[in-house]
Amino acid sequence: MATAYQWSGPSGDKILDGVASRKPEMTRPHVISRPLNPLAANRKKPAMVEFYTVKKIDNSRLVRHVEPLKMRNLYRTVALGGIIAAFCMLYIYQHFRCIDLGFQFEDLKAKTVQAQKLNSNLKLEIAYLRDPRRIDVIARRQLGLTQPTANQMRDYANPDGSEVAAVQFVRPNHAP
Amino acid sequence: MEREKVHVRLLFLAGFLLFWMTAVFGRVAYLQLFRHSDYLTRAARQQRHTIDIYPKRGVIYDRNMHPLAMSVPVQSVFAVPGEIKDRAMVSHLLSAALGMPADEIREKLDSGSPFVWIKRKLPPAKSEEVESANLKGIYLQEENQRFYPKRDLAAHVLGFVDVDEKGLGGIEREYDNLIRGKDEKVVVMTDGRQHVFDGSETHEDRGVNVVLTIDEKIQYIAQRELEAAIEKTRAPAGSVIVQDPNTGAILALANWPKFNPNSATEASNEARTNRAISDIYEPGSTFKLVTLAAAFDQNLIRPEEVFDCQNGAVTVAGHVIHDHARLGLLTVADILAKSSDVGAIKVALLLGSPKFYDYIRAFGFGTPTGVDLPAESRGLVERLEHWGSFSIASISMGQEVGVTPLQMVTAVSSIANGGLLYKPHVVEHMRNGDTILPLAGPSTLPEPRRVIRPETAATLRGLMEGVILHGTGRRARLDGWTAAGKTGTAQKIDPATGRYSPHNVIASFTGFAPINNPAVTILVSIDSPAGYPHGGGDVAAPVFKAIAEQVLPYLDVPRDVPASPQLVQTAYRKNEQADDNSSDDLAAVDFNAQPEAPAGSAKPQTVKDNQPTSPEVVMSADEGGDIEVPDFSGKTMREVSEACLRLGLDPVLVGTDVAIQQTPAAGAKVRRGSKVTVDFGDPPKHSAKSK
Repeated sequence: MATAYQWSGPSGDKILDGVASRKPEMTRPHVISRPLNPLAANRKKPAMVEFYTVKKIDNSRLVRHVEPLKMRNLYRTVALGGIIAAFCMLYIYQHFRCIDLGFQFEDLKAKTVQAQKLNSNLKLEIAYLRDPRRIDVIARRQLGLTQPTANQMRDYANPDGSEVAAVQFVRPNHAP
Repeated sequence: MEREKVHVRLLFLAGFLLFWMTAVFGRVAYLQLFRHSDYLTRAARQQRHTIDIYPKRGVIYDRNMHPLAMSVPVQSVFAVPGEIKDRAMVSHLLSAALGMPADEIREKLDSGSPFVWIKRKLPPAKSEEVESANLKGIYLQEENQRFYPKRDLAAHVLGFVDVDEKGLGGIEREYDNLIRGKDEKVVVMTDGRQHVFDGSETHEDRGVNVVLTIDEKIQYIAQRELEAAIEKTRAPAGSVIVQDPNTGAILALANWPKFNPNSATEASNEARTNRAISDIYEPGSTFKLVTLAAAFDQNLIRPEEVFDCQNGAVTVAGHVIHDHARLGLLTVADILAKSSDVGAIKVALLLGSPKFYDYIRAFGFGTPTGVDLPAESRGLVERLEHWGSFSIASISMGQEVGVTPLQMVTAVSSIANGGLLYKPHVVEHMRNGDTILPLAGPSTLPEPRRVIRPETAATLRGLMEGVILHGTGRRARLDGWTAAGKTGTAQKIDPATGRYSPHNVIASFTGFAPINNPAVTILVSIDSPAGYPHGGGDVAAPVFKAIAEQVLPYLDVPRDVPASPQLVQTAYRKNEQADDNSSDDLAAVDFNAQPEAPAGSAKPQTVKDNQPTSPEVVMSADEGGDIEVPDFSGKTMREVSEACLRLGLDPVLVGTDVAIQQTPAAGAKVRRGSKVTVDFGDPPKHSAKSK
């Protein structure tokens, strides 16, 4: 009859056959006599004792050996992957940014066209207002102006604007 | 066991993920690799739109860059009848907005066409009304419309366009392919909301801008005076041309009847006809200039040479020609001044038909001048071999020959400038933006052709001055400038009788001013003026005078003769108690005042002494005569101007501040209208001694 030994922890942990769920403590084995095979109950029990032992192995001081070449390759791969990813992001960003700018550009073009139309209309209005016939009618009928006679028209020499400005600013003070 | 279950589940999940990713990427690969072109085509069809760009017609400017014709964008209404469900309602709504009959709109919608114009080129207010109605199936399309902001100003030169902005007359037609520009198609990309996000660049191949030689001010002056003459004489038609004789540039071209290019379709064909280049008329006495020019150039006659005008009648080839008066012995100068037909015939007979014909063709008659306007007539000059025995006499006095007003003014310009015949033109240059384009095609200017010698031209100028001074053109005498010209009164043929009518004439005057270095040549032609007198000297010469006296000062042409005396306002007379601060020489000249009595004698009682306070404004008769130049030292510009205005002097003021120097000096005697140059500046400082 095989003899199973159970480990029992201080708190009565769950006991598995031959396997402890928690860190085992060395306890005295609790001998359980249980016939495994009823037929074998009448047989002679072998004289074999099974011991389950757990060896506590402290690996905390072990340092995994890292191969520099492999790490270098790893870093290189990560960097390359990062760069590729960055380029992909950049590509996608500029693609949609271009589309967005395209919308803005076309919008500005439309506004420019509108401004040009307004400019054309204003130029047309100015040209109409400067019609010599219109000015003549306003001058004669509304303002009562008449055409000057030959002797009433005088020719004045107009000094250059820069000359006038120069005189204005450098004129000496004649105050007593 | 448990482990195996976990392992199976993980495998199942991984397998599912793998299957999903395979399906997705497989589909992507299928779409990108195998269906790429199909979807690309479909996307392009949805996003890409082609827009027709109709270029804006170029602007037409006058010589001072004032726009005379320009295009602005306007909206036109069109319909897609297939999208309209309730056509009756749409017709009714549009009728209210557009001011059109609803039936007319309904008829267009029922025409069966997929696209119909409802109304083109609407005013902004109406297009906004249609847009605000927001009717399905009704859309607005932007088009360009031609406007002529100065209305009928230079209408015959500018021409007009049709609804599709195609030139139909004048410069619009002559340079239509350049002014119009090129149509362009632009491809744009739109999103699902029809917002444009990309588009091809436009080349903006707009029409070129045309700068004319026409001056809008001179054009207006010419039109106004022509209209006044037409109204006064009740004539049905007339033309005025103002040309620069030194270049051939046309400064003004006016016709009557006139039309407004903004509504050209409403004008008659007669109104739209450019008579100045299309109508042929017999020039009459004006053509004597050609006769005499040819004879002078051939050294056959001299100005003082005397011809017997046989008391105003001569017989040539069985035809009797009468002068308008009984003229006896006349010098060549008088033949022109008094417009003797007999004298002109005798000169032509001296010349002979072949030589005469050569000079007629040399002056440009019988061939188009080549002006850059459409529909120019070549005139009517019979070939020499077709001349009859009477032709030389008839042609010498301006009959049996047909000329256009433009040919006539160009010929007279050649006399004015010393004998060179320039090609008349109305286009100064063309520009594309700020770039001036080289002249090409009809706008190219060939070298001028010499017609007569400079000495001949100078002689003729002197004779033409005599026409104005003491001949038939006295009413063309200018006030302040010398002028030369020739009158013409050509009888028209009566269509009923086929003979010359004594009543219907074409009264013309062609002249230039000043005589030395002429600035303008002006032709005035009035067709069939009503009433009497109706000669060129009575009807056309005053128009020449009115135009020239306005154009010459506008062009800053200095006067070469003193202006005649005129009534001018001298000054406001203050109270008789003179202002202590006023200077004596600024007091108004009182021509009514009696001279002061000599010392010691009793002061005579004058009418002036008993007169009440002087009127506020003194109007003096400007009688002319020698004028003493006053001393302007220390005076301001205003004071100098008022003094010169009162004395009838022509001040030239230079500088600022107060007068420091003058030419002529104070006390000098000058003629009325003389220039007085006054320099202004800082007054001289007092000397140490005076301090």
